[in-house]
Amino acid sequence: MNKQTSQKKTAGIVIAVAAVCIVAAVACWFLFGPKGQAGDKDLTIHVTHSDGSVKTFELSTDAEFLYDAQAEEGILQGEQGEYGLFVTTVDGETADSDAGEYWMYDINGEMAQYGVDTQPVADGDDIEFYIEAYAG
Amino acid sequence: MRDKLPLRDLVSLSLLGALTVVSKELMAFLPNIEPVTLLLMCAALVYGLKAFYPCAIFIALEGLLYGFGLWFWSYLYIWPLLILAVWLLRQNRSWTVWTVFAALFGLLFGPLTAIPYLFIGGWSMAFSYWVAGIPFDLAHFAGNALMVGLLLRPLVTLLEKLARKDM
Repeated sequence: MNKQTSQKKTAGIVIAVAAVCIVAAVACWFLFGPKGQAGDKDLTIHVTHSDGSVKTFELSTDAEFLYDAQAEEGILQGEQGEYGLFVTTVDGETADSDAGEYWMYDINGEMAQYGVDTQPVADGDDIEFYIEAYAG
Repeated sequence: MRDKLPLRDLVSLSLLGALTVVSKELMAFLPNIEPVTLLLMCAALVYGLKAFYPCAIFIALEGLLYGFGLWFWSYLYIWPLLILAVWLLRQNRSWTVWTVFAALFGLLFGPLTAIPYLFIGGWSMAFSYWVAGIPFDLAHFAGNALMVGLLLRPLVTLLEKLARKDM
């Protein structure tokens, strides 16, 4: 095989793999990515503060995503960041970012995979906010 | 026989490593547009496998800057993998193919960083970690295409001049 055919072959393979991967990624996002659902939902949000006290909010909402669901109560405050809304304050307590602290949340006992503005909520969801610190 | 690293290359490779860290921090405000893929590809195209030196400098400094979290383990194989892939495809002379290659690498960055999660939470955790990041992988695809498409050729030309110049 001469050099030019070999190069064309490499080019073909790289472009074909790229095309397949991008189609697969987009398809997986639509198939398995977060989806909001319409309709009334009842949610429970527990906030564990750094002093150990826990505050519980019961919400009724027809919003599809967590941030919109709590917007009226104003439990969450944050800033728009590279990866969506970054929560800085929950129920009035701001995580001390200088000390490496940040707010985390679990949804039905599992660590959340999305930011609050892309996290879909379902009826009966139990959401828990707590402060964590970098172990760097 | 031991491969010698001439002083000239040693200096250029160290500076490339430092430049990768500095330029990454400078561009950090642009989501998923990063110069690391571009610079390490340049290093691999001009210096071959010696590009592992700037790569190692970059990984070590990032670890010191951000703390050795889970992401650090993925850096240990992702960036060397990039250099190895460039080296394997080194016969390629088409800039378009390098651009597509870099874009593809950006797209695969997410699934590659999901690998450590396989060991923590199995397939389901790694899969949901990957799916959650797909929009960012797509942005990384576009960002890399842009960076490498525009800058690879001039930078490689420049580095080759620096590498070959007799002094």
